[in-house]
Amino acid sequence: MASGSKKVIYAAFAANLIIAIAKFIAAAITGSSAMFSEGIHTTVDTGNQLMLLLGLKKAQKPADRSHPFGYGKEIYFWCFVVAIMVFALGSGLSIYEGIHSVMEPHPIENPLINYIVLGIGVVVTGISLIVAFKEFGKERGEMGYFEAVHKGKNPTNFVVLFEDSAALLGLIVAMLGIALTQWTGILIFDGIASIVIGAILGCTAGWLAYETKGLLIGESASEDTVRGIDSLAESHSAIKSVNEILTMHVGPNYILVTVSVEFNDELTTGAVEDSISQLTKQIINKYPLVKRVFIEAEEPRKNS
Amino acid sequence: MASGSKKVIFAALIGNGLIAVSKFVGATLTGSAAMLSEGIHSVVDTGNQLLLLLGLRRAKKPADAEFPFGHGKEIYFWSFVVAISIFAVGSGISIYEGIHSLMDPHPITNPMINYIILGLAICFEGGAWYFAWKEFSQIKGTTGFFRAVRGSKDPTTFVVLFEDSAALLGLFVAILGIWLGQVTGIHIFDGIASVIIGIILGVTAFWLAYETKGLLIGESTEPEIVQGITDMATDYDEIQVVNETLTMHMGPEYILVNLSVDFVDSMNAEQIEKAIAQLTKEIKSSFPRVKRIFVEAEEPSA
Repeated sequence: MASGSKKVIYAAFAANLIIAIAKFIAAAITGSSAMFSEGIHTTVDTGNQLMLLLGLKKAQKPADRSHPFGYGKEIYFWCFVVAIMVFALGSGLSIYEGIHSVMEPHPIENPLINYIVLGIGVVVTGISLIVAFKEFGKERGEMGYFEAVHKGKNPTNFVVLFEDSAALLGLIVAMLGIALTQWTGILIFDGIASIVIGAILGCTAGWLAYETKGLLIGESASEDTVRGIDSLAESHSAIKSVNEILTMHVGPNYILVTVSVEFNDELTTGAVEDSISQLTKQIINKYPLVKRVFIEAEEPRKNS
Repeated sequence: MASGSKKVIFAALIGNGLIAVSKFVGATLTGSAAMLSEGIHSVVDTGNQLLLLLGLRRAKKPADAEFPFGHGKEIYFWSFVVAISIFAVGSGISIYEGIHSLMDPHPITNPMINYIILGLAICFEGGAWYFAWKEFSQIKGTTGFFRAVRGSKDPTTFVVLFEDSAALLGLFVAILGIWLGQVTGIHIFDGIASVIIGIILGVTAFWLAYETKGLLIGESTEPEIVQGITDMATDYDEIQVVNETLTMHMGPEYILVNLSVDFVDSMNAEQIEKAIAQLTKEIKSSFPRVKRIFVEAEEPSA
């Protein structure tokens, strides 16, 4: 899965780098300020891929004394930083540029170059989107898109998916804006397109930030996993009853599980310790994402 | 402690609100664009306190199926957002404004009004700073300043302290800039001051972001508490060896403890369960911030 995320990020990185260069060249030739701000936006996106790679790398750091549960959440952190960047730079710059252009509209020179660059952008972003989409589809399984994003524990995939979708939508809006300006001769369409692009990026960033925030705070594992662990524990011969199961994603590939169970009264210390390590092994075998299991022997709580 | 940090935040909220109002009044009187953007900056600072209050409130939400360990980290999250906001808005606007003024320096009209507003701001900011400082020194006790920030698990107090300190330093730099411009007749001093203020805010925000990031990722609690819990468990007659003690702050007042111990061989399951329940109770009463403990019976790994 980690290598899958990396593939998605590299694809997006390569795509963005090419598009950014193309946009800056086009901006230099046509003198279009909207194209220039698009170039900045794509540069920000390129930087975002680097941050995601940094996050993936830092998340590998082994646990130490100050972070006993490891650094898995680094990846959630950097995804959140990316969301902020998209919001502040991507959305902010586009809206600023758009308002500027609406207040002081000027004709676009050489629209053909703009179309070519935007066309290249659509193709390259499209390819990157397909890669991200495929990877996301694997993880999504039977779930709907919104559900899969909400429940997804590996934000790197949906971050790229969101970013690419927003970029593609933005490119189409930009084309539409330039075409309408050319067609109708009304110059403000170009600026309106910039504002719409900014709004799209803003919404995307807001949603992204919301989803990664949950993971930073500490989301549980998927319901299926929790239920599966529950039935594994219930069916263990040494266990009388399961009191509670708490889980938390410390990273996309790291679930912390704490299980509170009541053991059969007559078991000796050795037998209890053996069945704990046996159950731990069973859980980790069945759910490889589970990296740490704590099983506590506890009498069922009475409601006092 | 929670009520203490609220007091600090309210003090900062009032301080920043008053500063924002006086800056806007100043901007209207002098027509200075720089003063207007300074006013906007203070409004953002006021908003930051509201974000911290929001974080404190949301962190109280009880645990649920989706967040089994509760929402305590909300406060870390919102502190981080504040750091970003100081960086982007505070530092960004100041540096932008400064470069603008360096490229196109012009004399300051009515410096007196500027001095008055900056003086008022120092009073308001100083009051808020004093509150934050008092609260922070109470918490830090005898540990050094930097170590206290590193070790602190409650960012709200040091977020406000950082913000206020940076703002206060910035106000002095601003007065110096205006005064030097007036005395020497060299207009670029004003712009240089703005750039320096921007740098101060940027460095502050960076440090803040770094500290809150560690808490979001999952920091352990103070080494003394880890040691204390280990000692308590080791002292137990029923416990042979403590394998490991893992802790994580899920919020300033919420420590998660996972303890792995080897029990004496002659016990049965019921006795183990009793011993665990008792140990749990004792740890919680010695360290009230420990909210959840999991004690696992495990043979020491060879």
